Amino acid sequence: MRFVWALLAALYALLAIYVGYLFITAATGEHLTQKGLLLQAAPFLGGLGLILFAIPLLWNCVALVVRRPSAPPG
Amino acid sequence: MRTVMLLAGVILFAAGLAVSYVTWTSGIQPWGQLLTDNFLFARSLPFTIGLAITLGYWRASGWRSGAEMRDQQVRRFAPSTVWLHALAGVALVTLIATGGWQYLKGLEAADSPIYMGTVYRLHFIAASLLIFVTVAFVTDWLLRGENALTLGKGQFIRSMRGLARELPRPLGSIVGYTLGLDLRRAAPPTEEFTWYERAVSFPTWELAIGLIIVTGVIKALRYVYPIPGDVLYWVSAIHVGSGVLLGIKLLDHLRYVLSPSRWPVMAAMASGWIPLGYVERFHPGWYSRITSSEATTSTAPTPSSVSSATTVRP
Repeated sequence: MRFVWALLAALYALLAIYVGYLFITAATGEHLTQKGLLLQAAPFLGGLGLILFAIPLLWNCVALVVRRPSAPPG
Repeated sequence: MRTVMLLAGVILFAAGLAVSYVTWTSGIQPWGQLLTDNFLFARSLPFTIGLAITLGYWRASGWRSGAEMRDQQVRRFAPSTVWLHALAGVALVTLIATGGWQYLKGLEAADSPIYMGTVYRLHFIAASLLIFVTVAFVTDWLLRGENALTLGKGQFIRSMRGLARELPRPLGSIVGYTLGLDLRRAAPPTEEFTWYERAVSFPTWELAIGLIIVTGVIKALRYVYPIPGDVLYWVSAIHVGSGVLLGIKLLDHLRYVLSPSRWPVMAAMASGWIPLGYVERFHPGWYSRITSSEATTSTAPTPSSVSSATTVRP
């Protein structure tokens, strides 16, 4: 079950990174550049946030598969 | 009485849906699929909310206080909490997928390979589900005065001290320095939920879900009540922003619960039960309440020192 959850979460994290990349490229693209910084800022920051928060999740997914969960004491 | 209330909610919900459905199938209105779905969603909302309130009342009035234990495990979540959380999870993932699809279509100015009417239909169904679960939970918590996931009145400084001790050292030091906390003092014991969950995670869920529901409902009502274009523009912008925030929040939530050391917490969200040894080690405040409570339904375990408890890291 740990493996299934790690796989699902890793897929979500990878998808979030891809969507974040699409947000950033759209924000810095020709279409939104003409519309001003305010309209560029939202997808840029959102994309950056998605990528930054996806990385620690990917890390934990790998750790969940590789490491043995801490056994409860007693 | 509580079951009668719940049945009344179910009957009213079914009647509300039936009236809207009959109107739709009669062909009186020349609406397309998208507009029909929008109207169905908007018209069903009062009945969805009403049903959720009766379910929240049903849950609250049948709630058993006190810790329930079996085989060195303690109940962390009621079965209905497990189901409602699962429903909220399914609704949230569907909303992020369908909402993200709509936003990306506009952002990339691309044609959708999937019929957009279907995407919106799924979005409305998932939105109804999320509103239902949210209202049921809020009603239940308000009626029971449940505050395990909040900081509690007059507990801000203490909570921040707990949070600062849970965070990785550099982040915790920043929080401590910014708020002028005395981090030489021992961390307050972790209760049923960690300080991170109470001070950061749950308030962010409240903000993001609150914003997405309020703005989503306003957007859905725009064909029922006229809403000025400027207002609708900003409402839509906030709706998209809170959608992205929910996507980020889900990443952080999964990161937190999928940490190897917290796997028992993750498993508890499916089974409802958590090993007592884990509670003793990572939730000493809750453990001492459980062990000192006379309301337990089985023999209480031997209490042990809470001072040796391990600090939870978010």
